[in-house]
Amino acid sequence: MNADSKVTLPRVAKGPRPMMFEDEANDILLSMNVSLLNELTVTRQRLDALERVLEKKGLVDQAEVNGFTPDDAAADERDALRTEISERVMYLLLHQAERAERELSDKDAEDEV
Amino acid sequence: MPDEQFEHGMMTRRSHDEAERQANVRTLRQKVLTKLAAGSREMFYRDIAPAYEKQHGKPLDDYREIRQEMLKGNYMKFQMGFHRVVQELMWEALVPPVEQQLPELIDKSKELDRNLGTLELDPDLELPRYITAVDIHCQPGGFTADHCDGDIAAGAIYDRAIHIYNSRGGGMTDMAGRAICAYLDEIFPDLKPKRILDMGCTVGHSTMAYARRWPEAELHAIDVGPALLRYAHARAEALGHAVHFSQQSAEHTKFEDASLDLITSNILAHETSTKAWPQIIKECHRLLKPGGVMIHADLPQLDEVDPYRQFIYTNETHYNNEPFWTKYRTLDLRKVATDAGFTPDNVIRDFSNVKGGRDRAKIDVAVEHSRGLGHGAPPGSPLGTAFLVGIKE
Repeated sequence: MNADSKVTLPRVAKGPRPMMFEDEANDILLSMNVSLLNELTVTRQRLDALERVLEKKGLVDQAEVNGFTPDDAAADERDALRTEISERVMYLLLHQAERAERELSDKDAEDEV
Repeated sequence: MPDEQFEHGMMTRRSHDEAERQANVRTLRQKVLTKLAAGSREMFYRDIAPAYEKQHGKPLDDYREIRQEMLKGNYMKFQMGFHRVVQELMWEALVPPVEQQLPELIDKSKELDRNLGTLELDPDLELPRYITAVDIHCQPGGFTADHCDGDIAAGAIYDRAIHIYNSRGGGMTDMAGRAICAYLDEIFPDLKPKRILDMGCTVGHSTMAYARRWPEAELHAIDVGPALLRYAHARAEALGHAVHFSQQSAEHTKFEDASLDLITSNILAHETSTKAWPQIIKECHRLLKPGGVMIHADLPQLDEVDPYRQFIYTNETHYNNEPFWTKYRTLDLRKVATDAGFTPDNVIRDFSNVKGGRDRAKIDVAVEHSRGLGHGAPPGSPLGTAFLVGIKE
């Protein structure tokens, strides 16, 4: 193959992929978590890079960012964001909780009938 | 600068995010995994080993049984699962920038060629099955992938991987080569090699240490991976060193009998096979001039470390595509060398942290200490890098 045509490099290694847990779902979840952690770090570092670049240009004062106190409206919005992100990460457990609740209320409804 | 890799002329460029992704994998490996591993070692000595001894009336000192006991709890499963994931994420972080820049990198490899050294590929070379059966270290495509004309991808990927993988390689990732130089300087102060061969050189990171230490010597380096060698050649040219790279199997090379003063290898042994490694040592015996020295660096053998380290070492076979790793560590290396023709007095089994040379008693004491280490022992092998040394009569 010529180097001018686009070469796709393999992403999967030849050889068995050992799983640590009896249920390999746990291995998959672990891989997702660590990968997510890696991406989160990349994003956090990018934000840091951005702040430093902006500070160098005199557009942002890091001390001002660090000492930032939101006003009431902003505080409410930030609180909502915090909850939203947590719920997004915890979505599977929350779904299970919701299902259990629904089953309970369905059962109550049946009992009433 | 905190421990950055030197950006020589052949390096793959990285955006902020690509660089950070790689740097974070290094942190996960060097900082987080190390902490996790210290925890499991503590659990072993504090809880698991005493509980086993109480229940069975005998110590827990067989590495296979240690594995069984350790894997009963979730902690070790998570640690080893995490270990594997970090290894996979390393390649995930390394492959895309190389893929994206491949045509440009191939051009660069040609531009950098100043004809200081040479490159000789052998398209007819039969690739050893022990190198191609699985992708060693889980590197997708392995050491021998050759995707297109002038391909250097395997080398470009591996070059940055060494730095992520090894916390103490230094900016030039040549610590292993420097350790071999330091050993030879101390034990063989009169050695002035005129012709050197580095076996299984990959991208030539250790080879460069020999180029710097013996600039007057004719330096050869061989490997079986064509893309690794093209990259290694360009890398050496970029760094300004004259090295003659060629695609050859260390089992049977094209060099003449008694034509070399020094033969080196670094972590090559455990990537070969039960048949190949003795053959490679035989080949070394054939190639060395009288008085010439071979030195092969790897980790210690299983019977040179304590049972818990045996367990940690042998994990690599199971979880990092290292099929020969455990088997290699049970070979009687002294016997391999004497079977290959080295006289017993001219075979030295030694370690970078011991440097006993011909003082066998000093080395035996150090190994005995290493075997007996228990609770509270520092992480990492106290012996350091292990060497198999042979001097041709």
